Amino acid sequence: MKIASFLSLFLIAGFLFVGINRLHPVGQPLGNQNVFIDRTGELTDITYVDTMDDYYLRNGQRETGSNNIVASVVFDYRGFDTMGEASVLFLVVTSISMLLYPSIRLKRDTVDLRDPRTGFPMDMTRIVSNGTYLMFPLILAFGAYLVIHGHLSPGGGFQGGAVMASGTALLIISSYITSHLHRTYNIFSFFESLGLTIFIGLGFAGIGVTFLSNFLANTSPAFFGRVIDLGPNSGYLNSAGLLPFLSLAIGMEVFFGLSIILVSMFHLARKEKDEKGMIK
Amino acid sequence: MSKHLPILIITIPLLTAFMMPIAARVGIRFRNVLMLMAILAINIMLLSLIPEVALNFGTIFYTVGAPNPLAINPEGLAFPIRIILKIDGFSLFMGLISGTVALVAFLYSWKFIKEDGKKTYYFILMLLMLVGMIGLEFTNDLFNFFVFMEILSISCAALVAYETEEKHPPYAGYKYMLISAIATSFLLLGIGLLYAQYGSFNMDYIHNEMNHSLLDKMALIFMLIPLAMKAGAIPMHMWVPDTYSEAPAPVTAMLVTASQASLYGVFRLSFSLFGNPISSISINYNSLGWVIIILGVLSMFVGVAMALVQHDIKRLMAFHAVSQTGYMLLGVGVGIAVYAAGDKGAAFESFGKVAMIGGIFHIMNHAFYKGLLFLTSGVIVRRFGTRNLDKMIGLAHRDTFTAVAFIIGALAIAGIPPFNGFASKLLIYESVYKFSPLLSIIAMFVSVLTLASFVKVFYSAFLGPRRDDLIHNTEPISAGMKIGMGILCVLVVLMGLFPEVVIDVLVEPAIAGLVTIR
Amino acid sequence: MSDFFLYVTVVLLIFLGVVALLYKRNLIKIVLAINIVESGINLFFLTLGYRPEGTAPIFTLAPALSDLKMVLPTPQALILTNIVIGFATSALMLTFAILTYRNNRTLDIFKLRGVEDHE
Repeated sequence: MKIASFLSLFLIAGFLFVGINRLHPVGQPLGNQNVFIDRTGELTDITYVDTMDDYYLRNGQRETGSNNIVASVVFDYRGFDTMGEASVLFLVVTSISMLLYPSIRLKRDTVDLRDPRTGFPMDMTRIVSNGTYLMFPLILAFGAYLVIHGHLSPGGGFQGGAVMASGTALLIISSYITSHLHRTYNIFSFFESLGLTIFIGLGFAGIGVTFLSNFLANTSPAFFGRVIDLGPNSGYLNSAGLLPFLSLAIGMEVFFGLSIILVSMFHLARKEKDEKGMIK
Repeated sequence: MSKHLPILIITIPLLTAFMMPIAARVGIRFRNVLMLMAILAINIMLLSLIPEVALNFGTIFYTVGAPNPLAINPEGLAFPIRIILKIDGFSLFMGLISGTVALVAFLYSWKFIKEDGKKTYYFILMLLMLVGMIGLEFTNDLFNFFVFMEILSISCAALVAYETEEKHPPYAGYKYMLISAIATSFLLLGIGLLYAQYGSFNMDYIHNEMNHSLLDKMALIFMLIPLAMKAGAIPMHMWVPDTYSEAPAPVTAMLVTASQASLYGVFRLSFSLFGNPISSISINYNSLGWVIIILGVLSMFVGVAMALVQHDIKRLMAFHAVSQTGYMLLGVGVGIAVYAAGDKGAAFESFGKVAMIGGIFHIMNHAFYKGLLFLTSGVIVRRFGTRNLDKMIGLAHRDTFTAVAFIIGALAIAGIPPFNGFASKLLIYESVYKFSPLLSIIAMFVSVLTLASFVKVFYSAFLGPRRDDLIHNTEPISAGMKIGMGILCVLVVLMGLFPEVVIDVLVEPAIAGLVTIR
Repeated sequence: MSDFFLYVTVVLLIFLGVVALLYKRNLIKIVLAINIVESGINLFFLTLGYRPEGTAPIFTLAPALSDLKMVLPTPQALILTNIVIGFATSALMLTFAILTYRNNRTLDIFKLRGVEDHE
């Protein structure tokens, strides 16, 4: 049985190998190499456009108003997939809450003694507590920067939200979050649902045209609709229409969702202590 | 508003699912009513699509994010650049099945699932499972198909492990998630191979540009095998008995429709994506058809053979689900095999189309009677506290309603008139006989064995003296459970008495959506 | 052959991941094997969109338009989605493994094998 499965695996790998030789060589994908020649600045410019990606590269900046073409693909051209992906994240958070419900929601909140000066448990050293105080706001700020500037530099909702969630991991490791799960959980769950509702609400806001249409792009600079010049520029924050808002909503959802998962798994492993601090 | 219907069917339940935790904070009854309204809204919207899509053999397109919903290609371009949703007869057919079974399962679990703190999450996951199924069936974009399939898989896996305090449900959920993860990874590999060649994800565009090279055949294999694996066909059926038996009863009824959504994927890819048998360069439809036929016959036979020896009622029914999937594969496989027979479609017109009608009609029938059987098994298991047939006896004295529902389901699955199983199985027998008499005889033999195993179950669980000392749970069946099972009973009987109505209204447009692409 | 070096890496990663999936007995090692397969698929998509001397498809502070070449943006969007889905899969499978260990006191699939034929 083992030999048979190993042989069949070799066959499949060989099959894949033979086929992959017929793919295009690495570095020569479909599409036009010089897709930026003679851009006219119209909204839909289809000269030299051979494939879907050529269209994105040539017209993405003009049509959606964002400098980051990947962000415009993720949130504008293929925004429906992003909604599905956000739903997957919400789904997984819901599943883990459901599966671990008897194990964690029914545990009592512990009473542990904290040092009134630092807010950490009594036996925590100064390096850990001060380090956490320094690092956590910086991590949140960096994550928020990634989220807000998603349409200008590499980043976006998912990346920034994941960075922010690593801040929560820091808090757990340094024992700042040890108890009071119910309050934490309710707050995080509310904001996560809020983020996702904002995303779908923004999608419905453009329903006069279609769902998830970028109706704020190329309107007025007050509503993030600044028309930007083609070609390399230095980046303007109030461009790209709906994209910063979608990015914010996703960043909020990812941050709170990942935090719920981290906190739930932590509380699963936490041993219950009674009032005297002895492990039950 | 009607031109936005495709997107509303997918996003309104999503919005409801996201607001469900807040609704549960307001009150339990409010949450139940909200969920009921969401599922009823989906079903009403799906039914309202019937005049345009089914009766007129039309297709609805929706471009997400474009200046207007029908702007598939921007001006002057030959390819689409956004995500397109496309509802044709087959999508609507599968969507109606999913919506109906979801409504029934929700009504059943109103009181069946105990009201501990997990029930809100249960409803959220059930709603998201329905969204995943309908999104999968409505999309025309390969990567969107993958994303919705992931939504479906993850919610199914989490619901399977609902009873987290027992020993086996979490492990069954683990195995289901494992199978799904591998299947979707290889599906993505196939999608990547197609993207590398054509530069687009849109199914219609790839269909028009397809040149059937070796890479395309490789992509076909990499996409069909994982989808067949998730549909429960032999030889990748191992996860079906474990998963179906450990899940709660209404979840199992929806798992049947989830497996059929993967079967939808198999047929959609073989016909709409890789189908162009008129031209000379194409895949060999005869061999593809024969592969599907062999898979179908093996599923039928192995499924029913393993079911005969089972002592566990839900594992027995799960093996029968594998066996009935074989019938669907057989019917559509015969249709594929004669599709491009070279005689300008004469064989297809005479019996291939009837085989396909039988196979696709069987999908709907199977969802309904198998859902009914699993719901009755939920009652049986809850009464006796065990799934072992040897420890059950004499339930018909207490639960006559369940006994009648079980009889209806068992006669339907065995193909006895006047229930709906008879209609689709007769179509399959007749047309497959003209193709190859041996296959038809095997199909009829499998039907006989199916009836035998369900007679065994009925005898064990329902007949016999009344033994109250074996009953663990004496609370009466709630109204929701009765309404749920009643809806399915009525559908099974009505579809058996008037199959021509269903075939003309629903199945013929489904075939038209699949077969006559050009 | 050097043109296809990256594709060969993809095939190797997937092959190793599936081998580990089939032959490892610990539930958590199987989760890691799935992660390896997902990494291979992500690398495959990344390779599909590569152009030599291409920069990231971002116009902020990009080189001048005359000698600008960009890699394809669409595979990057797919990889984003796939990474999130892979994370979700791993988190869920690990939760199942935790619950299985809690209820059965073992993580070995051979010891858990007899669960199907209970009763």
